[in-house]
Amino acid sequence: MDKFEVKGHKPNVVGDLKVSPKELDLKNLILIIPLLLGVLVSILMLPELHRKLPSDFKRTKLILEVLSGDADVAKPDAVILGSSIAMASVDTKLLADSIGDMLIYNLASTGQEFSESVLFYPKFNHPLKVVVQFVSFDELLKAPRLSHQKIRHFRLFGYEPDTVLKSFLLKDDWEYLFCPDWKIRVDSRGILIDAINSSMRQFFRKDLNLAALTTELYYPTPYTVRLPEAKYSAMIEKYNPPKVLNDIELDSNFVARLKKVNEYLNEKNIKFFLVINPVNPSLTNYPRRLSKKIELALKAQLPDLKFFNYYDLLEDENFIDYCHPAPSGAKIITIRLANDLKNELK
Amino acid sequence: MLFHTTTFLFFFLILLAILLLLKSNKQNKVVYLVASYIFYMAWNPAFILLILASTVVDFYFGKKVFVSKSRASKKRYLIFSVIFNLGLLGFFKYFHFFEQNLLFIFRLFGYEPNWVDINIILPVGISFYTFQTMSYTIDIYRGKLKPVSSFLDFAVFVSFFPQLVAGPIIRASDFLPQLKTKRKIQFKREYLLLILKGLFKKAVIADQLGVFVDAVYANPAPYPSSIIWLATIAFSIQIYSDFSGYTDMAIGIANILGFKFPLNFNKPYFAKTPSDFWRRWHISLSSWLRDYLYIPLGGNRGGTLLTYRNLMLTMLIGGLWHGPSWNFVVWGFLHGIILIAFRYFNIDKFLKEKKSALWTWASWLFMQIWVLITWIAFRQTNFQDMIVTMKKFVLFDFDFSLQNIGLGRLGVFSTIFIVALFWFLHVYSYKVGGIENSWKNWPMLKLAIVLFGVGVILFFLWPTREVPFIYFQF
Repeated sequence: MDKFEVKGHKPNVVGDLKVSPKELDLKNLILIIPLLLGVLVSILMLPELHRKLPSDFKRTKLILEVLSGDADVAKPDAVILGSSIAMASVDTKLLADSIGDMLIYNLASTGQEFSESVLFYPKFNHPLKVVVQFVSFDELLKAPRLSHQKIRHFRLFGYEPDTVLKSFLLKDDWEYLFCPDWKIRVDSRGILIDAINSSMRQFFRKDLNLAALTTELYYPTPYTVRLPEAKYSAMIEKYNPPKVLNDIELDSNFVARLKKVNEYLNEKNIKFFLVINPVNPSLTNYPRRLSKKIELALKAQLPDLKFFNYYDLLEDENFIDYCHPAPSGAKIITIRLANDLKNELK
Repeated sequence: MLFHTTTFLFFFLILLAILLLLKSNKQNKVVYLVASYIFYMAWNPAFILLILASTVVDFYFGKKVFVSKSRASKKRYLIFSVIFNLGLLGFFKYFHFFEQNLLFIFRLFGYEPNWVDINIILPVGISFYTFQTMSYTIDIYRGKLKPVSSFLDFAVFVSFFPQLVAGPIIRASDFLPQLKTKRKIQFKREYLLLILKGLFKKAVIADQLGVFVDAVYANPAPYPSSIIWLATIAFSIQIYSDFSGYTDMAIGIANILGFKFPLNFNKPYFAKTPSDFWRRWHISLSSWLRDYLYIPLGGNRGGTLLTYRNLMLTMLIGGLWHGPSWNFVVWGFLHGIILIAFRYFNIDKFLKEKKSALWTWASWLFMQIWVLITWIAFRQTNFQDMIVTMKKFVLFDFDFSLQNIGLGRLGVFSTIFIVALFWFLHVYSYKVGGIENSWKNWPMLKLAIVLFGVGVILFFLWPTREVPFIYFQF
């Protein structure tokens, strides 16, 4: 028996254990070249693919084109910015009819929080006079960072950042906004996965008007039909905070950025209005009494900021899910916004 | 240091360069040892002391067991070695588990002990190298192995970096003969392709699926059965691709260095019976448990009931080996139950005799669904969530509505795509007898074109976050 042999245990490896290979076979390393070439070609063709492939972020391109005048539409006098809640909240055709003599676009987009909206501010120019920025209650308490995925989409859509943004963004986001082109391309490699999910969702979710995302400038919401009651309730349960929110404290960084944005737009002779998103009253752990507290906090910390508080404007039946207003809710918000703007723009 | 990172690439290239310059086998072995220790210390330098302790203790006790004249003396040294190894494992891996369970029992009786909480870090790879060193001493005790005379050889055997942190668990009899001659570096096509295959499994398949699995399993309650099924299928593929991907890379790397490692996976999702599954899944662990636990317990030699007991004990301990949590015990229990059931009804024999395609397919389907159920227990550490997930899996609700499941963020469709890609490649690999074995004979141009395509896929499907190997935590 060999020194190392185990009785009854057959070595589970292929080949003679004591024989070492003789040839180095270095020539096979050449096979790494086509592999790397595949990676290199992918990096090179990524921007082109980004333009062609479906994506949830195509609306960003539309917004940038509208603001730069590259789109085949007139430039707006007023714009609405914000997330999908803002998309579902304001019908700007109805808004313009109520205010009169203004071209207003709803340029909100999916997941567009304040930190993303500010990327559009340096692109505002004549004849834009009014900006209405929707923000969520949660954003005021803890401002989220700007998603780097969003930054990548902006860069790949040809966005050229302005130095003024330095005071609107967190240091890390600001640095990433200016990172080298190759890094943006490498970090954007998930576009294929995004495209699969985006295109298949368009195919399967016939109940959603997803085409509105890439074409609609007035009332771009894809959400129009209320969820079935069981799903609605499950969603409410999922998104209701575990504890009742009692005291609030505005995020100091967010307050500072709001102040700077307000001053910046005033300098450009653009009126800036902040709107606090409506909150579904079925989310009972966001109590109605918080509405007054936010107002007081905003007035105390940002006395020069004009804002409209729609926190408790809607009832449960005005929502299609836990947060997005239904068309009936949008009508209520639009009419209220029209009145508020009329008063302020007198 | 993860195999699929640039840090490892540089480490490995430097190692290869050094090895190519060396002349003697002894120099080579010193470099293997130093490289292995650097590899391990990149995670946490302090824990190299544990490996050193384990090496010294088993090298010493192995010799003592061998030279001892009496059976009792041999046994005493063996017990020291086993207690030392299990003690290490017990303290670092199971201390908190025992503490929590003891606390639970005390509280049942209304007693609140005032314990000082100590923070214990689980050393990476401890479950693998302690099993390896234990098998060495046990084999010497059984008279099946003679102790190795060189401490350097033994230290390399314990710490060899390609398999140090996640296996395969190598037997001394498989590894030590390979250190007798100077191993020479070789870049065979199949070795390079095996590493590429492992990389693809880990990055493209496992890590992509992990995003969806994590999201669903974190909070299964709102999801319909269809999504729970998809997440469970995705997890079964994730864990296989993650672990076998690691093994492929480990074997490929060892092969390049001139070593041979045992096979650790043999297409387990083609298994038709539980015993077939365990001959294909984590082979180095299941054969270890068979040789050092099931057979010493009596195996199938003590009658039907004792065989069932031995099977169940082996599976429960095998489950607990994966982690200090009751969900792994449930996982082991489910595997134990099905092994016993198949043995009780003599299904393996029935399938052999019947030779009917229908029965074979039915058995395969049943076995794979059972494996999926066991994966739920494996993945869900929270008992409440485990029950919710199993309930939704078993009592199918036929809710295929895509509302309210955050399709975009969740990545349902990309998950279906990756699952389909996995099965396509898995069946293809099965048909051709292993991609690396088939592709190695292709003409250079054909292979280059395919590798170009693989490069494109690797780029676009390489995850945007770095995910550690699942089995590192065990």
